[in-house]
Amino acid sequence: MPKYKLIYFDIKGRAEPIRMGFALAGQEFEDVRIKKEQWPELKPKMPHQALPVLEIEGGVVLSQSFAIGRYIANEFGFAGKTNLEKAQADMFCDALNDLTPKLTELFHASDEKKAEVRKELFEKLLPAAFTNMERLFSKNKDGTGFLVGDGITWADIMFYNFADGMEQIEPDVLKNFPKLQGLLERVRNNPKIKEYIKNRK
Amino acid sequence: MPKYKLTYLVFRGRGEVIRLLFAAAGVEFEDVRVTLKDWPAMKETDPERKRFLFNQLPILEFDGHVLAQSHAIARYVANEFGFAGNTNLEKAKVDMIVSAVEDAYSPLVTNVWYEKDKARKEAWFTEFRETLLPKSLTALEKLLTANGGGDGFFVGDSVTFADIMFADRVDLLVFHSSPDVLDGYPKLKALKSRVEALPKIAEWIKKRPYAPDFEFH
Repeated sequence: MPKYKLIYFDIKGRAEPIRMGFALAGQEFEDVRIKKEQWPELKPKMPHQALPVLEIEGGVVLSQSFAIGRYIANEFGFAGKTNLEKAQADMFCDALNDLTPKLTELFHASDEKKAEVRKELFEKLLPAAFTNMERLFSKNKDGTGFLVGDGITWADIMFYNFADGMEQIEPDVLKNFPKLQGLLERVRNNPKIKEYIKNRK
Repeated sequence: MPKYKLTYLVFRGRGEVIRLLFAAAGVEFEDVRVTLKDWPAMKETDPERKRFLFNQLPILEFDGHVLAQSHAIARYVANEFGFAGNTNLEKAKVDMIVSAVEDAYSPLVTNVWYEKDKARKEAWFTEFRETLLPKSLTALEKLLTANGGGDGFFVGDSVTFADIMFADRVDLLVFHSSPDVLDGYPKLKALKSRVEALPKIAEWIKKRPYAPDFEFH
């Protein structure tokens, strides 16, 4: 089994689903976390001038968090069982990714603009996205299992990390979405993920 | 072979790469094109989101299934017909390049279509021409060159989703920059010609309906 080295900042951000993916796979990896101050010097040395980066023993370097996440999922068997399931998993992840620009805007917004962006996110964009996801999720075993197929996939991990992050800002962000709430609990209680969450930095 | 029905807007936009993949595979598909004017009414025919799962286009319907999200659909078609890369690692490299092209394309679309403030728009376009686009193209040229010298394709030794994505989306990037911008990136320039010369792709480009993508700026 090749050695893996994940490089990112010392935050959850775009790397946490990947770290969690390794945990789910029971696969060791080197979890390199760089300090923000180190980044300007390191950036030009990185092949794609962005993080996260996954270095695989043998010289391969992968960038783009989704490409890395999907790679780990495919390698360790939690991507979905068929091309269709994989596409369905991708679909949920892409829908979550569509919300990232607004999240980034909230993060960087000035104090005056923060309230406005927050309102747009939590009163309009998130409810619309979660409504679509709850509805779509319900088509799979009435939303009593996982997003895709009949086992946990990286779509569930991505959703968990996203929703968990939103709950830190607004604790009842999922209050109108019982099936998605159930999914969150189900992911939290997966033995390997539970262990990872307990021990993570 | 299931019957595939792709529904997207009249543009090339985010749907064309899916059409190109079907063409490259030699697989027939129903190519439904919706005007911006007709899209709101079409959305209202599906209040329960049985088809327009995320209230957006494109969607792909086949065998009673519906897929949404342009990259998920494109990757599905690529995987089904052998344009996704042959190993997990190749697939990851394909995904990486697709994401890199999307990262260059997406802010351009936002600024062309949605930025109303003239001063901010002008400032962004200057940054695009002077910094953002050169940075993206340099990185892509490097990635291409890293694959056996860069005279083939981005990944492995045959055309993939990554090459088709680049060849299709680069037109808009060039349009908003300068016509000869690719002269500075010879391997990328040659790749684009190589992709467009592949028989099935050349045939599609020749016969595809007119798309008004370059009427907006």
